[in-house]
Order: sequence, then structure tokens, then C-alpha cells
Amino acid sequence: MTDDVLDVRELRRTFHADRAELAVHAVAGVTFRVRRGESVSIVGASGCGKSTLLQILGCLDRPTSGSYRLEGEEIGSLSEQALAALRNRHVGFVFQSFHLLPRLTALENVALPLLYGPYHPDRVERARAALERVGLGDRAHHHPSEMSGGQRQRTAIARAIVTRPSLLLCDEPTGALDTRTSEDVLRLIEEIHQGGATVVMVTHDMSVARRLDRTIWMSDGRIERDGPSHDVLEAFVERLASDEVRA
Amino acid sequence: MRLRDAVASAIQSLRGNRMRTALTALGTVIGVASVVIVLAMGEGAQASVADRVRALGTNILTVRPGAGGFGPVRTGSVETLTLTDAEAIARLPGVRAVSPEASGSAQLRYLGANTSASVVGVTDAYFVVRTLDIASGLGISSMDDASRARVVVLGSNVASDLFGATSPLGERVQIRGIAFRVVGVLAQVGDAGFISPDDQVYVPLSVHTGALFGGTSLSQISVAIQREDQAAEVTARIASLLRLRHALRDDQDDDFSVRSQTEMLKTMSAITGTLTALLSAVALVSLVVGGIGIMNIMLASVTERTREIGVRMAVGARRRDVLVQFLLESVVVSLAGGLAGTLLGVLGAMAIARFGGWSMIVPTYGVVLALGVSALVGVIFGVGPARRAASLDPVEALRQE
Repeated sequence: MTDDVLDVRELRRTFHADRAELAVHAVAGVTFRVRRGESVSIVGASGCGKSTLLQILGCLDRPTSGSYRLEGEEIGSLSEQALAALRNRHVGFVFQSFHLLPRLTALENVALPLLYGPYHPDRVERARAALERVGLGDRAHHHPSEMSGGQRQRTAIARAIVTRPSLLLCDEPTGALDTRTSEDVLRLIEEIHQGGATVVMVTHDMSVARRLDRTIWMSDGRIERDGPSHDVLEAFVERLASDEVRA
Repeated sequence: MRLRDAVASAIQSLRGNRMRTALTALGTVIGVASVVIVLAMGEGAQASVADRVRALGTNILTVRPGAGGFGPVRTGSVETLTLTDAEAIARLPGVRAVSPEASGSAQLRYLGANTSASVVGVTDAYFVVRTLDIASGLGISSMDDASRARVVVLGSNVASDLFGATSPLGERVQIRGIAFRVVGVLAQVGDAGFISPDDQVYVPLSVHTGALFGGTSLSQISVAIQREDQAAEVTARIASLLRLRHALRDDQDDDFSVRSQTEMLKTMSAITGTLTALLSAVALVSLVVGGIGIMNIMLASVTERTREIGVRMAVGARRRDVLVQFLLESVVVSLAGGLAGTLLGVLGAMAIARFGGWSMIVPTYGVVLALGVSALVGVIFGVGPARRAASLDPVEALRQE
């Protein structure tokens, strides 16, 4: 097991790469590493490439060039199948809009990742344990439509951790929640982080980013600053303020 | 993903939208039900034809005037068979009995009642060769034939038409103005021939060809052979004997035909088989239409569930898992439709047999075929939508609202 969960070097993602006049450089050469157990936020203005980067980190998309190693495995050379297996084994996703399947119960939603990859005979027990860990043991047989936003996001978190992944990727996990519910969800993510998981989170919310160890500030597909959250966010807020004054 | 889990997952998805699933399966239900009913009809018809022919006796050869074949068009003279031909055939080795027959139809009258029936001129051999039982009285004897006795044996339907419940024995019926004494009534045979013996009456051949209809030609000669396996051999013997007797040159066609019951059975089976195949093909078209319905709904389902596909991929589903899931959904729908269709088909066949009086036999192969075809329809028409689902880009799919 390597010490780095993520190792990204000169990573680029260009859309319409085959036609120069239409080419969009969503990620334009980024390099960083994330150590095991770290919590990292990625901040930046809309369209700066942070979500695209997160998709590549979660093996949902492939880089146009550069290198990305997840748990020591270079993903560029992997087949679709191997990529899916890697995603299943190492990555847990938490999305802004929960992405629960409406026809499945909370328990079935949480057990979904265990349907794929190697056979898990203890699937139901593990899903139940994950639900209990997020405090929804009594909601196992409820459908998403019967739950509040916070409960849905907690169910989604349970689904993300049910395979015990080394990397938890969160895309604006509190974006659709009110302040109180957001606090509950963030506390839950912090607990999971304290339990040993590496967390990478895309967020717009400075107060959320501040709670993580490190922040990567992206601008126009590149890394503007990368360092302890406090320092990076201070610079980021200053930049925002000066931009506003200029505007 | 294990197949068991994939099937469970497919069923779970289908149960989530029961109405749509039921409507999707409807095409297959109707298609399979019609295939099962058509096959049951075909099988029933085949069995009933076989029964009819078998009832005539499988070790019987039928010699007819003309060059053979069914239907009204016959080549060659139709007045070629004579009683002496029959007598000559009787002397051939392998022949057990020969029944020369002449036929005509006439009005029968008894007091105020009258009915039309086929009047067959026969010898005493007829009842033996055709294995017909006499319910009451006697058959036509050789004495009757020799003495040109004006006696008649009635088929059971004719007897009941003319006499109702009273016994006709000893009564006199008028056939073409000639009085015949009823000496016997046949036991009911049922629907066992192309013309049922129940609807015929029997008079001595000598009277038939003499006073009743005149002429010397026979309508057919039934030949009982000693063993069924000799049919081909005896047929050849009869053919060469008759060619010789009718003085046919080598370049002339036969002016008679010799057919065995087995041959007749084969011909009739071929006819019903062709009809069944034709009707099944029509029924299969409805299965294909059902399949197109499935494809249509599955395509709509893929579009509707794009985000679900994205989520499944995000949590580790391979493209193959998605493909298998959608394919299984289509197969499960189709197969469930096939099962319901089979049940409906069997019930339909039973209802037709009961209320329509048709002979219906649901063949096992028909059920297996219908289920197999419905599963195949599921696969064929499910592949397209499933491939579309599997080829989705997970990032795009997750973005779908």
C-alpha cells in the first residue's frame, strides 16, 4: 500500500481535443498528491475545472494526457472493466443531488455497490451496518421519497462507504441542504475521515472548505494555490474581494 | 455481478412499474397464446385424421379407378374396375380378403320419412375387411349377393333418421322405388371416415350393379392384406396384375390407383402439417410485433433511466453489467409474457375443444417452442436498448436530470 492515495501529474482534460477551434481545456495540467488520511477541498470559480478533475479522480472520466495513479495504479492504461472495478473497490462518491435510485429502499440503495465487483454474501448485513453508522438504521426500508434531504444525503454517504473505500469523493455534498442539515452531513464526513478515509471535496462554500486539512484552489483549469486550508482560503477570499472591487 | 443478483435486480426494476411491464408483455402474451392455440389445433387435427384413417384399418389397400389423386379431376377412364378384377386380386398371394364396392346415392323412403344416403353395393367380405360391427340383425351375406336379394343394412344415422327409436329389422324401405327389406343395422361408428359408415346403407353388390344403379364398374376395391409390412409388395402385385388385365402398354399410365391407408395417413398428415406451419407463421408474426413493442418500451426505459445507469456505473457497474441488466429485463418481460401466453393458450384450446367441439391437443414441444421463442424475442429485441444503455458515458448520464 503506497502512502499516496492519489498521485496526479501534469493532468489535462481537453474536450473536443480533435478540433483546435472548439477545444476546451477543462483541466490544463495539474500536479498534486494526496496522502492517505488527508482531507482536501477543491475550490474555485464555476467552470474552473474542479468537477471535471473530480470525475477523473473518481475514474468516471479519463485524462487527455498526463498521469493519474490511484492507489498506485496508473488509470490511463486500464480497460473500462478494470476502471469500473477500481471505482468499485477504492472510490466512494457523494453527489450534491444524492443520486439515489427512487425505486429502491434505503437499504437497497446502500447495498448497490456490493452488487458489483466481487461477490459479497454479507451484502445486506454490511449495508445495514453502513446505514446504522450514518444514523439511519430505522429507515432501512424507506424509499428516498419518504426521507428528508438530510436523510437522503446520509443514505448516499452510507452507499459511498459501504465498500470501505480508501477515497471518498464529495461533489458539493451540502449544496442542496439547509444549514443545520449541512452541519450534520459535514460532521458525518469528518467522522468518516477520522476513521481513516481520505476525503477530497469540491465545494463553493468557504466555511466547508475551511474544515478540511488542505485546499487546492483552481483557476482556468490550473492550480492557483495548494496548501493548508487556512492560507489558501485567505488568499482565495482576497482575490474574490479584489475581483469584486475591480468589477 | 452474479446472474442471480442480475435477475433479481431486473425483476425488481420491472416490479417498480407493473402497469408498464404488463402492457409491454401483452404483445408476447397474445403472440404466444395464438401460437399455442394454432399448434394445438394442428396437433388435434393430425391426431383426428390419424384416428379416422386407422379406424378404416391399416392393413387395407384401396384400389380405385382412374389415375389416382384426390379431388374431382381424374385422368384416365373412371370405369375400369370390374368384379373380375376383384376376383383376380383375391387370388394374389398376401391378400387375405377382397371387397369389391360400388357406390351411388339415393333417396330412401319409409312410410312418411325419407332421407338421402350413400348406397354402397357390397359383398359379405365388406364387413370383414372394414371391421364394421352389426348392432342388430345380420350383414350382407354371400347368399344375398348370389340370389340378388333385395335386402339392406342401414348405417346407424340412417336407421334413426327413418325409424327413430323403433327397430327397423324386417321393415321395408324404398330405394329408388325398389323395396328393400332391412336385415341389419350397423353399430354406431362415429366420425371415423371421410364419409361415415353411419350415414351409408349397404345392399348386395349384385343388386347395386343390377336393378338399382346398373353398370358393371366398381367404385373401389378394398383389399385386406395378410400382414401390414407386405403393403408395398402386394401393391406392386395388384398394379402389375391390373395393368396386364387392362392390357395397358408400357407407355400408358395406370388407369387405376392403389393406395395404402398408411400412405393416405401420410398425405393427410402432410396437409394438416402444412396448414399448421402456415398458421403458426402467422401467429409468429404477432410475436415479432410483440417483440417490437418490447424494444420500444425498453428504449424509452433507457432514456428515462439514464441517471440510474450513471449511478450504477459510478458505484462500480461495468458496461457488461448494465448490458446484462437491461437484456435480462427484456427477457424477463418476454418470458413472463410467454408463460402467461402459454397459460392463456392452453385455456383457450380447452375452451375451443369444449365449446367448439374441435379436437385440440396442446403438444409439449409447442409449449417449449413458444417459451423458447418468447425468450429469443426478448434477447433479439432487448439487445439494441441494452447496448444503448451500456454505451452511455457515466459522466453524461449522471448529469441527466
